[in-house]
Amino acid sequence: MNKYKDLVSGICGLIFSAGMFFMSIQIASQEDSWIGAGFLPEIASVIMFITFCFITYRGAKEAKSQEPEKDPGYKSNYKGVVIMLVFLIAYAALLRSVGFIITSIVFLYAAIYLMTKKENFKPVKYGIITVVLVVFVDVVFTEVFGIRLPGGIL
Amino acid sequence: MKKTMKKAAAGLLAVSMAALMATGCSKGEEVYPSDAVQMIVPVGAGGDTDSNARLLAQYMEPELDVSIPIVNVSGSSGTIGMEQVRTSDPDGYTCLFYHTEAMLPEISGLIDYQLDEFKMAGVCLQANTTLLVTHNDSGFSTLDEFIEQAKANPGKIEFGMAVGGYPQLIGLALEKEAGIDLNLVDIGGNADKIAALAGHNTDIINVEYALVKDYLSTGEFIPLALLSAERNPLFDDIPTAKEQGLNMEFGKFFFVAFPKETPDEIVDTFSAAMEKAVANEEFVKAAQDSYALTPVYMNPEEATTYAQEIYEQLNSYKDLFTAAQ
Amino acid sequence: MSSEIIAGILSICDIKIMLLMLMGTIMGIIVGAIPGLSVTMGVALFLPLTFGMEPVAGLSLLVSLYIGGTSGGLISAILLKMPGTASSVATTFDGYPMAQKGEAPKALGVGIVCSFFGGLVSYIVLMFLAPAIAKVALQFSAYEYFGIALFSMTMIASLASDSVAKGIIAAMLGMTLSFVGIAPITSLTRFTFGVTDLNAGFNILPMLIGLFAVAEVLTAIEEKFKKQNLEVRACKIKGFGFTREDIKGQGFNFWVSVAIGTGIGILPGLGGSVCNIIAYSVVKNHSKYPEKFGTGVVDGIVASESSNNACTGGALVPLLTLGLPGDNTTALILAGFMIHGITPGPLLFRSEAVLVYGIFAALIVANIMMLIVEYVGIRAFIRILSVPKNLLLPIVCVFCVVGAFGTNNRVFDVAAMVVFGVIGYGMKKLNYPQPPLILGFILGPILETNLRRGLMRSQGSFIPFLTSPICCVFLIIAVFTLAMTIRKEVLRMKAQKAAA
Repeated sequence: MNKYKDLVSGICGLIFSAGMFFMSIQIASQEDSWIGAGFLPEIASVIMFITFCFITYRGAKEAKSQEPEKDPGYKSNYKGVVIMLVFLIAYAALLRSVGFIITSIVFLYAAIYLMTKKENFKPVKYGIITVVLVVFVDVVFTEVFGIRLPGGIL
Repeated sequence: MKKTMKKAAAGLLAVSMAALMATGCSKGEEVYPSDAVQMIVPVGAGGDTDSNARLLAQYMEPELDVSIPIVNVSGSSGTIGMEQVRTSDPDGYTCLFYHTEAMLPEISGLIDYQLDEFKMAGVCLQANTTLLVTHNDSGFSTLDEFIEQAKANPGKIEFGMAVGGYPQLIGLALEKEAGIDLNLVDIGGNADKIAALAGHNTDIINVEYALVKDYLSTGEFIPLALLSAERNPLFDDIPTAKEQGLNMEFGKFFFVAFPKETPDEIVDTFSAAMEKAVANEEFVKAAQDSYALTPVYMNPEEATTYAQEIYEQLNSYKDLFTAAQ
Repeated sequence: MSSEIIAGILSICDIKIMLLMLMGTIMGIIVGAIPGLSVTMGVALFLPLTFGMEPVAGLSLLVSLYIGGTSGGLISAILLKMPGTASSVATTFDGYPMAQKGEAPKALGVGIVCSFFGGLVSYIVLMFLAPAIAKVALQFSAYEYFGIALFSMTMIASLASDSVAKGIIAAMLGMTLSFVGIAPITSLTRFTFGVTDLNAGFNILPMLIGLFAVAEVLTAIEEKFKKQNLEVRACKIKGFGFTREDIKGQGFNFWVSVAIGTGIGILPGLGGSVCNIIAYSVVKNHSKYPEKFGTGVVDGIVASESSNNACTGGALVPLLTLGLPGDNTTALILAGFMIHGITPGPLLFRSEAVLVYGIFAALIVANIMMLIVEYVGIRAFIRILSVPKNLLLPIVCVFCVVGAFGTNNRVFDVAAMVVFGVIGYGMKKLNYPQPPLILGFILGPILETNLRRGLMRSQGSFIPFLTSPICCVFLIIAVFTLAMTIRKEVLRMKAQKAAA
């Protein structure tokens, strides 16, 4: 898996920068002068494309190499990463409608659960910490700093 | 020991939740206003708009007996903040504080709605302080000399402005009214324009009097004209464009507006508080001292009519404006 | 004149003003340490309070906030990899690794002391050289700014530890991100795909929080089963946390960083966010051990923290001498002046000499207060590290969300932060360096706006870029740096081939 990293990112990059170049041309065509809003994006996408060619080339060489891959020594917890992302997205999505306090409490508790090794997890203690902290943050930010965190349901 | 701790924590939790409930639920059930009214300022903090909003809020808070937090939502020539107010709940707890430039995005084609998408609560300040200034090495020191030189060298004299903004409109209007051809160059905001003029990197700009007071005193900058109907009593030695034969009036008026569907009673309550704040002597003094502003109160109807007048004047330059984009 | 200096100094020797400054400094540090609470926001919050005060009191409060805020960012940068303000981004590069290695006291101590001395030097420059420097600053027009921006872009290479190619990609990606939104000058919407929230472009703070802090959280989750200490030991601190040995040889780094910070601060429009990264790259470029940067070397912190506090003094130069704010926060301090009916400008030193000297005195005093407060605070800050990671990181997430939301009161910024978290995590996994992305993002608008403004002014000709002496100098340095980097990279690849 590791050998192909550069090759994959290189190819994706080529597609990305090519796409960006076409979009930049479209932007540039909306204006009369050549030094318009599309100028620098065109240059940036060209530089990226050329550099990605280079990376892809190197990535291809690396992929072909016969060197054995290094064992990282632990099981990568990709499942956890995905779950955390789901939590974060849900947090952001519900922030305005459900309100800061409830979403934060739920998120914080869930995140702590995710990050703690099963044997170390203390449900009640963590629950109390979560609620107190979130309420504290809300009060401090709203009253002292004047940032209105979404009220939502409350 | 653990049990008492748990009890204490639960107690603390209950108390804080109760407190939150109490403060959070009162909105909308009683007399307006019963909760803080957010005043959205669609430009960054610092600068005259933001400063004036804070000044107004400070004097309105005791009148309405609620806090009026200023929220900066900047970006895209103010349209992000404007859009936020336009689409927020019309419950009277979100309002917009802005000035004449609110009308420009629609004129320049950036957005497709005008101030009539809002309900005006009133006008509180007028800035009759827009000057045309040049630096002391430009080769002309009066408006007439400037126009003469511009006619003799079409397209050479640089007018520093910001594309898509009020300064560009003023530049185009200047060209039209004086019948001259200038080189309009994008320089940026007030700070950039002043820096450019001071460094002799541009020839003429429009700027508020208060920001260049010192430069005028030392003679580094020369005021060519005040773009108002009459001379400003706070600095009455600067002649208006009008008295020199150029029909250009480009001041700024600062207003507060609510989302369109906001009930009239709420808007009127807010407006009445504005009137009291504007009449406050300390407010008047602060406004004059800070940016040489003229406190003026206009109620919702007057403000709407006034805004419409100004809009018509600015819109008359629309063709020039869009052609230049 | 000396009577005015004495009068100025005496004007702040009032217990009320001293207390105000202390409060301002503490608040500033807190605000600076918590991302999402920017120094600008803190100053804006206190601005109305200054309405009723004497000018010198109000302004002393504001500058204390400024100083505290600029310095406070290093705390969260080092302990949590969350840059409290954009001016402490580079502090995360080496500060956080140092904390992970158990050297948090050293990192914090060095950062605090460098902040103090960096600021001090710039205030001295401000006091004695301000008017002269201001004249030079005025010579900078679009051409010169473009030259500086281009030169800074060549610094990318030194920020990319492993692969210059990947560094270039990261920088270009950063620039591309800065293109999203409404284009400068001609107001065309670019790369927004119809999403109105993107019209204003990306805000840098959610980007920084996502790229660094959130990505870090994701990485920590991925490594959950790694057999290592999940808890970083909270260490004992002696004095400031570091010894003479630790900072031996940092002299050059310090002075170069202070020069860069002060210089960039003086130019209106460029502020703390730019100078800390540039100082870091310059220091890394000149170092005898550039490969160690990013793993936790003191040099990185010296560079970042000296320059960002030096920037505050620099930014006050155009403010006090020309009435032109150097960055967002000084714009608010300008408002602080205007409220009292004082317009900073060429006459300020003459017409309000006592006030000006009072402000100078306030700067020195606030700087000292910051040093003392943070010295006392280090011991408390370190405690943060003793919170177990499984609790700390989720809490950090909540603060990230609050911080992102607080920038512009939009949920969009929170979503952006999450996206940048993914991007940051992805970049780490694919070995793309993050620092160049930030630099590209910050410099993109400066590069583009000034290039186009310059060309507009010269009506399409590139000649003025070359005839301007200042711009020419920067361009030559840029070309030179680029050449050196290419040479280094070629040599490095040859060596790798030989070793294979």
